[in-house]
Amino acid sequence: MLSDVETMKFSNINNMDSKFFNPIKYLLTSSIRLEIMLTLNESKKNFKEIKKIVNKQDTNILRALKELENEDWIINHQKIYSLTSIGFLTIQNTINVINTWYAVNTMDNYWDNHNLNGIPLNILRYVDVWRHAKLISSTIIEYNKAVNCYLNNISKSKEIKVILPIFSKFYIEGILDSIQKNNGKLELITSNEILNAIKESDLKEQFTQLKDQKKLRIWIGESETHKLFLTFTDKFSSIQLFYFDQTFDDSNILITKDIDKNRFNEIFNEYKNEYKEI
Amino acid sequence: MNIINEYNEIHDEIKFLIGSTVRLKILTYLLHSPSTIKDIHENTNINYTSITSNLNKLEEKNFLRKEKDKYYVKSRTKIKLMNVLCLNDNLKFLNKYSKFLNNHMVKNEKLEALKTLPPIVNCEVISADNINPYKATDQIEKVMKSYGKVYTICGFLHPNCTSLLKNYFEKDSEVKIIIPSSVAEYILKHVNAYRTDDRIKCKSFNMKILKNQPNLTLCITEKECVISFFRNEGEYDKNTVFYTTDKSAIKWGFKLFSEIESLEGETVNIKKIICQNNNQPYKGDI
Repeated sequence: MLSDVETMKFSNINNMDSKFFNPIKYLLTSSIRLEIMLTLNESKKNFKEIKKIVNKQDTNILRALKELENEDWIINHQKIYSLTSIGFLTIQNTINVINTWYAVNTMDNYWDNHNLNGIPLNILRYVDVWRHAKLISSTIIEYNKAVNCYLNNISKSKEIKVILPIFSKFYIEGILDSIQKNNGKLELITSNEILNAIKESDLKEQFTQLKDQKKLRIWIGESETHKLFLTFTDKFSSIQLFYFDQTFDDSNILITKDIDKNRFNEIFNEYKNEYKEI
Repeated sequence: MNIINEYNEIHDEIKFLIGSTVRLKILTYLLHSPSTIKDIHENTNINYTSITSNLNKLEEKNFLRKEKDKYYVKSRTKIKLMNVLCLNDNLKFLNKYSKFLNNHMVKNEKLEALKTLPPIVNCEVISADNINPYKATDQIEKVMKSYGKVYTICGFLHPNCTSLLKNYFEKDSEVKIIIPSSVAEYILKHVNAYRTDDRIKCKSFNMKILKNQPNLTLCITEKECVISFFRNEGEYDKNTVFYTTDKSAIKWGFKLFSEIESLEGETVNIKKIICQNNNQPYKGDI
């Protein structure tokens, strides 16, 4: 699976001595150090300007500045403090962790109810792309609310990228109809098993036609079906996951119109690089 | 909400989790397999009292769930923990190479790839020395001469440009190069001067010309990644490169490449030009 290489790197628990976690402890547990780094990430500043933002005692700020200089994260050039190269990279990567952590907390039950095993590390590192997402859940009155929400949004989309882990006629028909109606394009990442199921279904003709018209590109993974249904279009992005018992949850969908193109493209590119285009 | 407010909202939770090495060790262990107290003790050497007390706290604060005798990391914790472990790894990497990186220009607010560095296990800095003053450039050239997918971002005209191009045309390569406009005309001169009776073998060869090229050189294949930067003084550093065969770093290299490739610029199909100039049929990219 895509995620294994990275996850395995953290598996050797015996290498984790008492100093192992010092780097994150040093940065993330001190609000004064972090605030200084965050404000210098916006622009270089002198002590007075830093003090205005970091509302702490002078001695504490000066001590923190000295510590950050010793770490080579900031430099003091003619009394102006700025981030060094590694200071810049440190704070950029830290901001991503804070954003992700915060985004997880806004939807903690949704994540907890789903199985994340086998989900690529990049998707876990980019959870903040869902920070403004809406969770649409089916109800006993609106039994297909989540599916209908998907179909409604997909019908307006033109450029569609999908990681498809299930064969569901509802979803696939909606996607193919939209491509046909909107003269759009589809990039489909799936498994052989699902592809064969599509080809054996009554969607076969429409599917082949779109492929012949070069409106459809397909990438196939060697591994068994990946456990997420991810859609990224010019109109919206959505994610649906599996429960811990391995069944697909089609009653809940996280959907957002606040699309982070770079990050979604990257997630898809990662699959495309590892999977084979047919 | 701005980032400081976000941090303040999660600060207590961060402090609780990251402030304790024991809790981090237990969670990291559980990340790989849900376990009983006995398993945790045997594999982490943490004493029973400490394990029990920390598991209770972690369960109370919703980081874990217990089913029968086994403890499971909740999905919310998995996301946070993976991010924190990556950051810890990134910080160690940055610290290890701080002297080198701080002498070079790596700041670029626009590049998303810099915000999520990969967890890298194996990486080396290759520097020119008195015996081989071209060691760093040789390393770039070695990777550039690989078979298969070869993606390069290059801010300068490579001294062995002709031989590199010939090498690509004669192999089953998929080549992409990104270069500044000042270099493009020289490459096109080499391309237009190339004559051969042999069959053009490369699967595809595209050149993207950027107006504003980032200050780095990157060459990436499916097996290797080599990267070099500009010195703080403003000149390209010919003497030192980062070299790695680490899979995560390679994946990251491709991500950086795609990001820069998506910047505005003209794309030239070199394979098509070569085929036409040598009276060979161009059947598109393979």
